[in-house]
Order: sequence, then C-alpha cells, then structure tokens
Amino acid sequence: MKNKKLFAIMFAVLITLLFLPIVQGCFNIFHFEPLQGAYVKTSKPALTFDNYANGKYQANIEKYVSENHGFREPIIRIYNQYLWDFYKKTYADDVVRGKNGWLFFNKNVESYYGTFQHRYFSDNYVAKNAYDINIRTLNKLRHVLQEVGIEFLAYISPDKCFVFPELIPEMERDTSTIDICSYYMDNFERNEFPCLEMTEMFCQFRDTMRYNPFSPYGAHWNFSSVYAADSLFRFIENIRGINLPDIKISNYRKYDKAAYKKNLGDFDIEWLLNLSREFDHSDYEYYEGDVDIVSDSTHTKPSILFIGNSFLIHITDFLNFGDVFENPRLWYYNKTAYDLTDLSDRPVDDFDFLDEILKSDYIVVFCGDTQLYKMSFGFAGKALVSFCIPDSIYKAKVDYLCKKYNYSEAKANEIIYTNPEVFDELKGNSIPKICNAKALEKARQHNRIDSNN
Amino acid sequence: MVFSSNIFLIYFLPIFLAVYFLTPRRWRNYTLLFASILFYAYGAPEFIIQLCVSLVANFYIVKAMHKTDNPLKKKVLCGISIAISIGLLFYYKYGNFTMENLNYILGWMHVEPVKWVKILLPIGISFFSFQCVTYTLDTYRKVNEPMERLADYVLYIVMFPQLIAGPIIRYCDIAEQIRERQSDYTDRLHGFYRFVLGLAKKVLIADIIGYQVDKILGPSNYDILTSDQLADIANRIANIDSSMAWIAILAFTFQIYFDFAGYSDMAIGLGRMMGFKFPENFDNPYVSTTISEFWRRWHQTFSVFIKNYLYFPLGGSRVKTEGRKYFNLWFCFLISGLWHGAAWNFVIYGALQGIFICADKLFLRKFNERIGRIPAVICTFAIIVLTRCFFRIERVDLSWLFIKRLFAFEFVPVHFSDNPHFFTTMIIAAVFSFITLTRFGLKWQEKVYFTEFNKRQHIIAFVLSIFGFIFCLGALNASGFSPFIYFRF
Repeated sequence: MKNKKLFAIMFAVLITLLFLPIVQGCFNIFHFEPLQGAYVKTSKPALTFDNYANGKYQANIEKYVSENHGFREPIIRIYNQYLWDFYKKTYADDVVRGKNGWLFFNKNVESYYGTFQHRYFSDNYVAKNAYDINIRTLNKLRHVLQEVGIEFLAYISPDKCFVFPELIPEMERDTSTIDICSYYMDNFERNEFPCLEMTEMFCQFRDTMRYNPFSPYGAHWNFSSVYAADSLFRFIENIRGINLPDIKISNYRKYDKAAYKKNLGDFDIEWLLNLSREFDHSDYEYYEGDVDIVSDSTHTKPSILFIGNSFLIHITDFLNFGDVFENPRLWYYNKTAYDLTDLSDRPVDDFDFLDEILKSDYIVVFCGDTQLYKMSFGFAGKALVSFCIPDSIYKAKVDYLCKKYNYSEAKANEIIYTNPEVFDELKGNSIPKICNAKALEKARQHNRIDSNN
Repeated sequence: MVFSSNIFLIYFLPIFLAVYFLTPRRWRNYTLLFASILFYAYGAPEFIIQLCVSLVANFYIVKAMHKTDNPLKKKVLCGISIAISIGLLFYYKYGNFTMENLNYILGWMHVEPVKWVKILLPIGISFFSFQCVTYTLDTYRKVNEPMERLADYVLYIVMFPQLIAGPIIRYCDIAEQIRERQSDYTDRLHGFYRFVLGLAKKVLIADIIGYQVDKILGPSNYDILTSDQLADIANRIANIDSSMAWIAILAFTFQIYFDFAGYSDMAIGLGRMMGFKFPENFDNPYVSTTISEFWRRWHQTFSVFIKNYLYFPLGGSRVKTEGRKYFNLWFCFLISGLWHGAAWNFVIYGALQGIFICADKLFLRKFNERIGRIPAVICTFAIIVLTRCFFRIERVDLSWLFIKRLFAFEFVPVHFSDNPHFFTTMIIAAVFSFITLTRFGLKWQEKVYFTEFNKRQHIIAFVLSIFGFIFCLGALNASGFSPFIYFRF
C-alpha cells in the first residue's frame, strides 16, 4: 500500500516533468542564455488544408517546435558539453579542434592544406579557369571605375590557420592543387591591381606582439584588427596620396575574461559550440586598448564602400569607420548592406546599385583566403555588366539562359555575375568602355563624367 | 509522426498520457483511438480516408463471415477481406515496383509503356495490413470471436504505439486486452523505463551510427535521389577501400538492430503504460548460433506471422517431399524479403536468407554445432552482415560492387581518433549486441526487462529514465542544430 502511494507519486511527477517543456515554452518561466550562432529561423506555419495534405505543414511545424520548445537551450548545451568532453565533437558548423585546444574552421584548415579546392572544383583546369575569370573581371572593373574616378582595390584578410599553422589539426597536404592566394597575388601584381595581403604581417605580429593576433577560441582577429585597419587606411592613402585621419592606441591592457564583450573575436568559435560550461581561459591572456581617431583639417574623409566578410565587422568592435570615412558601407557578401557608422542593415537589393557605386570614392573588396575563389561575391561581375553592357543585350542574354537551361531569372543573373564573360563584349583581357545608357546618365548625375561625354 | 521527434516527445506524449489517465476507464479506448487516428492522420493525411473506409468494410465483412454457417460464403468473405488488406498493401507498396518492371519488359518487347503515376507509400501499411489479415484469419479459424464494436476493431489496427513499426500483434494475442485490461502504477513506470530504453537505442546508438553509414554509403532510400546523386553514390562505392566498406556494413548491421529494436521497445513500453502486454520482438538476435535461430530471435512477431499465416497454409514441413519442404521455407523467406521493400535487392535478400535457412536444415547447423558456440555465433553473424549488403544498398549492381570492395583486400588503416564518437558508439552497440553470450549479460537483461522492480530499484530506474529522456532530447535537438558563426551567402 505504502509502495503503491510512492509509485503513484512517482508517476504523477513523471507526467508533470513531461509537461514542463510545454509550460516553459508557453510561459518562459526560467530564463536561459540564448543559443549562439546564425541559422534560418522557421516561422510558424499556417495550417491550411493544402499544407496539411501535402505534408508541408507537418514538416514545418516539426522544425518550428524543435526551435521553440521549452528548455531547448539547456538541453542542447548539456548534450553539446557531453560531446565535447568525451569526444571533442561539435555539431557547430565546420568547427574542428586543433592542437593545444585551439579551435579552427575546417574549411580554413583545408585551405591551408590545399584540399579546399576540391569542395568547389573538379580539377585544376576548372579551378584555374574560374580564378582567371574572377581576376580578369576585377581588373576590368578597376579600369572601368577609374574612368568615373573611383578607386577599386582589394584586401585579403589573414586567416588564423595561416598565422598559426603549427596548431591546426594534422592533415595530408595536397600539393597538386593551385595555391590560390599566390595565384591571385601574382596576377594582381602583373596587372598592377592594388591589393593588400595581410597574412605575412600577422605572422610578424605573432612573433613581435605581446599577445596573439588570434585567440585560441576565436575565428576572427581580435584587437589586432585595429592594426589591420591602420594598414588598410595607409594603403588607401597611398593610392591617391590623400591624408586620412590617424589611429591612436592608448591604455593598452590585459582585460579580465569575466568582463569580455560578446562581440570580440576572441571567443566567437567558443560561443558557437554552445556548451554549458565555458572553457578555462585562465592560462591565456587577452589584451585590448583604447582607440582614438585623430582628425584635423588636413585630413580628408572620402566615401567608401566595402564588399566583404565578417572580419570587417569585427574592426567596428574597436573603431568607428564613420570617424575616418564619409558614408562608410559594407555590403556583406554582397547581400546585406551595413551602415558602418551604426551597423544598421538592409538588403543590398533595397539600394540603387549604380547610385551606391557612384557615391563612393573607394570600393574595397575584402575577403579571406578561403573566399578568394569568389572574391567580390558577384559584385565585380554585376558592376561590370551594369556599366558596360546595354540593357537590351543584357535582357536578351538573361532570356536566352532562362529559355535554354530552364533557369529562373535570379539563377541566370547569378551565372552572369559570376562569369560576365558570357558576353562577347567582356571576353578576354581587353578593357571595355562604359556604354550602358543608364550608367552614363547616373555618372553624369554624380558628376563622375563630363555632361558632354 | 515518429516517436523520436520533438513533436511526439514534447507535445503528443505528455498530452496523450495526461488525457488518457484522466479519462474514466471505460472511455480510455476511445481516447486511445482518437489519439491513434490523430497520430496517423498527422503522418499520412492522404491515406487516412482509404484506411478508415477499408477498416469499416473489413469489420463488417468479417462480422458477416463469422455469422454465416455457409462454408462457401465464409470462404468467399474471408477471401474478400484478405484481398482488401493485401490489395491495399500490394497497390501502395508494390504498385510502383510492378509497373516499373512491367514497363521494362514492355520496352524490351518494343511495346509502348503503360502510363503510371508514382504512388507514395503510406506509413505503417506493411504492419497494419498484416494485422488486418490476422484478424480475419483468427476469426475465420475461430481462434477468437470478432470484435463487437467497430471502435475496438479500428483501435486494434491503428493503435499508435505499434502502428508504424510493429510489433505485429496477432488478434488472438490482444483481443482480450482491448476489451479489458489492468494497469497499475508499476506497469506505467515500467512502461516508461522501457520507452526511454528504446528511445536511447534509437537516438543514442542507431542514429549516431546511421549518420556515418549514410556518409559512407549515401542515403538508404534511392527513390529520392537525382541521377547525379546516384552516380555519386555509385562512384563512392566503386572507390571505397575495404576497411571503410567493412566498417560501413558492420555499422549498418548494428544500426538496423538498434533502430528497430529501439522502436519495438518504445512501442512495448507505451503499450505497457496503458496496460497492454505486447509480444516481444527481438531476443538478442546477434548471439544466434544458426540462421534459423537468428530468425527466431529477429523481428519475432513477423516470423510468427509468416509461420502461422504463410508457412503453415503452404503445408509447412508436413509435405510429401523434402524438396517441397525446402521450397516452402525458401518461399516464405523470399516473401519476407519482399515485405521489407519493393525492390529487387530485397527479393535477393529474402532469397539468400531462404537459401541459408535451407542450408541450415541440411548441413550448416550440424557444422555450427561441431565448431562450438562462439565460432558458430561468429559464422552466423558473418552471414547476416554479408547479406545485409543487399538490404542496405537498394541497387543490386551496387550491392554486388560493394561486396567486391569488401573482398578487394585494399585495407587502409583506420584510427579511433578519426571519429571517437562513432567508434565508441559502435563498441557500445557491439557490447550490448553480444553481452547475453555471458551469464552476467543474461542476468542483467532478465533484471532490466522482465523483473518487477522493488522500491529501491524503481527509484533508481526512475531517475535514470528521466535523465535518459532528457539526454535523448538533447541528442535529438543538438544534432539538428548546426549554426553558422554568421550568415554566409
């Protein structure tokens, strides 16, 4: 009888426990730290007869429930912690553990060992062809933009794997693939295309600076990004001989791990792991400093547009681009437009493409080693076509691609932007002329060319 | 809806259990019936109407069959009832396969192919078709009276714990339980422990291993693949080294066991919570010393079904010639193979099992007895592993190619450190698969599965089950959450 009572209580407790995720999901009684990382959130699906009958509702509601049920955060963190403690395994996108507990992204490791090319290209011939088209497109665009008084340049951010190669996981090196960075740099040098490659400088940093330019648990550069920014600003200055505001670093100090700011590149891979326990940071020192932008009447503030990746956003952890440039913008992967003064964002497609280009004095394509194969993320192709191909020819080509290959218009555009040499006018190394009527008109409106031109 | 999904574990299960146990005892069957229909309607909305219509028709046909004294009419009605159940199964499961092969033959004869729109396979049809058949035949053979109420009959067929993946419950085994059953709190607790055990087998072992198997061999269902993806899989199999090939097929052998046995445990556990005693479906199949023993231990309810409703009607072993006896055996396994899937690889799988069963009866068993228990277990396991190639790889040419790669003897060193999670799980799977070879393992199995717990054991099992449940939820959710550091385009 006594046992029966106990078992009844246990069963009641069981049912109550089973209900807890529903209750927590509805009322959010306990507050848990949200899971870190970017993923596409599923919106709550509408229940309609069609949706239900074809199974779409069921598929979406399962995803939605998985993303929104109660106790999701601690449950995932506990399991991730188990995987990490026992197997050093993570479900976080592409994260691998290197030596001494350092964390890296697998694609960067592959890039270092030369195997990354296999992810996208079947062989060297195909890869080289794609690289050549990309390099020629960048080069042609540089000359086209020079016609309208805009400087177009490139910046290759350093990668943690290349700065700390002795700490990455062991892997067999593939020497048969093309060393993409050298290939691009050689071509840029031959074409006198201005490009700043930062890996070497960061390798020097690690030997001469008090702290590492990358932390064990971060993917991006940390406070060292300020020095990278300074190099970029000086590089821009030299192109046209202008004088940009100066960067002044003071109060250089070790900072307390407990007081770290969430947006620092020192810990972003660690956060991505979504563990329940933080790593022990006691044996590692983190530094930061105060950054001031010194500006006076001798300094100029040109307008700038970056086409780049998250490394650029991480510079804004320490300095405001608005203090150095007029209207600084980042087109993140050429998809999301950030205003670099306040980091507000909108889709790039919301803006007038030509207007935004013609507003800029400088356009900088900014990427890392692993992104070089698609450097500019389609921007250069789109810009080249927008300036140098009349609308009627462009439309005819899109129609042709859609009809012949059954592409959507978006897909046809993507193909053209990746390889503008689908137009005879843009083939080879010869530099095209601006002949798109709309582009010419816009250039006149922005006083980029003579109104007689 | 599958048991190992968030929507089932977080919403369906607690709400169902609460409503079920709050419902007065005499209405509980209706609660279970409503939940089962909801469960099925969620997973196979396009089929729910056909299912209900066929069940209603079957119920009244069987009732009429039972009432009539005219033997011919009885036989005809029995035939119609079975034709409905097997007809639905044949149409939905084998329609595409039949038409593909028919069109292949027509094409070979230069005849215009028959136009055919591919049919989607409704979930669970293989299981509930068989249950419909057992209902008809058990009533026909007067083993049991037919159900008086339509609701009870529909409940027997669509009861959600066993609807999707069994166990296949014969009508005679459950008829009384549907009408009247008892469940005390210990049953409910034991049921929950069993459910969590099954969930852990599925989520913590089968899914982890299965992920790697899919990485090596590609997805198991080739119907959803494009020709490029299929070519990629063919290329992968053609170039696989022998080490990886053996790992893949061994892993699949464990995956399918833990997946299926896990699902059966969950079904048995849920049933027990409600007072049902579902039959066991697996009894350590990989410790079998012969293939015949393996089939007595693997998917037991299916083997019983085939024996009672196919092998015996064919004459079983009481036939005039030895040849016919072996044919009956072989034929039953051929049909079993085809039941697992509508493709030639499953036919070959069934035929091979049939051949090994016949070989067992002829000489293999004697050989195994002579070599001793452990070598016999290894030999039997090796046969199972090899025949699994035809089960896993849905194209016969690729299965054959894969077997060639197994014996290409192109071994490449494999390191535990390459994937410690997978290899640890494989070791755990192997230990639990073979542990009952030891007396210690048998004792523990008896204790965990079949012994009533005392108070202390209940408390331990309760706490472990709760933690196990949370852990499984974690595995389910974490494996589906693979965020990027930032959005990349």
